[in-house]
Amino acid sequence: MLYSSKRTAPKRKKKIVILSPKMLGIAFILISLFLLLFGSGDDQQIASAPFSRFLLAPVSAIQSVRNFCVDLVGGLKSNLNAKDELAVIKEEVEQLRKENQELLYKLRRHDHYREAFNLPHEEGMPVIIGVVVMRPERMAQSLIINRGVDDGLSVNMPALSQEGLVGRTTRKLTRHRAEVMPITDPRSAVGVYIKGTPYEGILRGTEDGNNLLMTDRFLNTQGDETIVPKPGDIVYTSGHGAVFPRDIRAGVISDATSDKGIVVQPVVDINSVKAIMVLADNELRKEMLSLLDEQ
Amino acid sequence: MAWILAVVVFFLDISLRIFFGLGPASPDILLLALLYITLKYPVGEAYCIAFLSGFSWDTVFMDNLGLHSFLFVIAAMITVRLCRLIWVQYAISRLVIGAAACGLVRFGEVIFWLSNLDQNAPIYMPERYIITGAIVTGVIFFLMPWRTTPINLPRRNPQTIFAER
Repeated sequence: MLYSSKRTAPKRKKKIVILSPKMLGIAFILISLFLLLFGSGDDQQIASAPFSRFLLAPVSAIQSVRNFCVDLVGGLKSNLNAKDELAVIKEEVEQLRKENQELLYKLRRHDHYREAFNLPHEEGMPVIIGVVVMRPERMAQSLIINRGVDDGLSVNMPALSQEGLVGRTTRKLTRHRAEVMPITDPRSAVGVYIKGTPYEGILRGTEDGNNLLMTDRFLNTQGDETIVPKPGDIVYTSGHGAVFPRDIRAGVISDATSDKGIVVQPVVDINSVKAIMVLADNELRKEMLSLLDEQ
Repeated sequence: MAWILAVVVFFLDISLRIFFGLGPASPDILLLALLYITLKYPVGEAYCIAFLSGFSWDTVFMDNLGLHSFLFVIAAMITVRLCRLIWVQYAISRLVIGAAACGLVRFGEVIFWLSNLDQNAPIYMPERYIITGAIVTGVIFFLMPWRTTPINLPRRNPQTIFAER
């Protein structure tokens, strides 16, 4: 008889392998969960490590190469019509000189009045200058600058360039880096007014990332409805919301007849901005933000 | 070889994003490389690469540490499971794996960001971000040239595998 039902094969002991790929995967998941839960504090400040700097160095180099390429192409393009541009710039410089003289005169008068009424001097806004090290462009437009919590940055600080408003800092902050959400981002909303008209509204980013849309338009004073916004009018921040100070140039109206709202061209080219000035907290702004938090 | 591939693709992905400003509808190139490594190289090595590349990703993009390493390892584990059920040699199977992995990673990102970052979540129209990303990544994995090796399932065939289930 070749086969007997009574004979059973000896039972093999199942080996428990600790260092199996499955266990390794589970270990990695547990480590990741631990990092997620305990790796960052309540204020989302992720501890910066040497690894971060080591990794960001090549990324910054890639960003520099991209900037160089953009500059090269832009330079070649602008050289073609440099003569016309030079004439325009000369005119602009003359105009700015005149404006500068007028402003200096007004400033002197302003100081005289302050001294006459014995008023305290205005507190200046400290500025933190950062260089754009990366534009991730993964889900939405954003800029990462080489300044962070250690340099005095915090959430919702206005970011400017020489031309005008760039955006604000977000909650993504580390000790040496910060993310800036530009005003062209669809999630961005800035309180603005149109210079020379009684209109105020909210300036929002659009999906294409090139234009802005001024919506929720309203009159801030009665009786001036006849003055309507027109292309070329400049849009400034209104200071509502306590994030952005008043009178920062945000954009220029390019189309005032659109059904969706007033189309505004941003004054700052987000794709080519290299350095950013972040307005740090002064006492007045701190008080206003704390009041808003309480509310 | 797998490590070199992972490092090269990691920086390639970042370079493409920096140079061309790839939007939400772009494929997850790093994830594609991870799927390839998971299917072609030893599983333990793939898990290590998934964890480290996720960690590096979080560091560069300033996400919460552990988010992408968690999602990438989960995606790799699901891929290992899926490739036992469906034959990876078929392009349509790769489309399913690519779309599923990318959908999982993006869904995880969105859930975490929305629950953790509130209004600062770096996404606009999350449903489009998830769906388009999953489709595009799946299609690219579908089109990826794949060396057709003979299917080696000793003493089993697909019918018995599905019958057992």
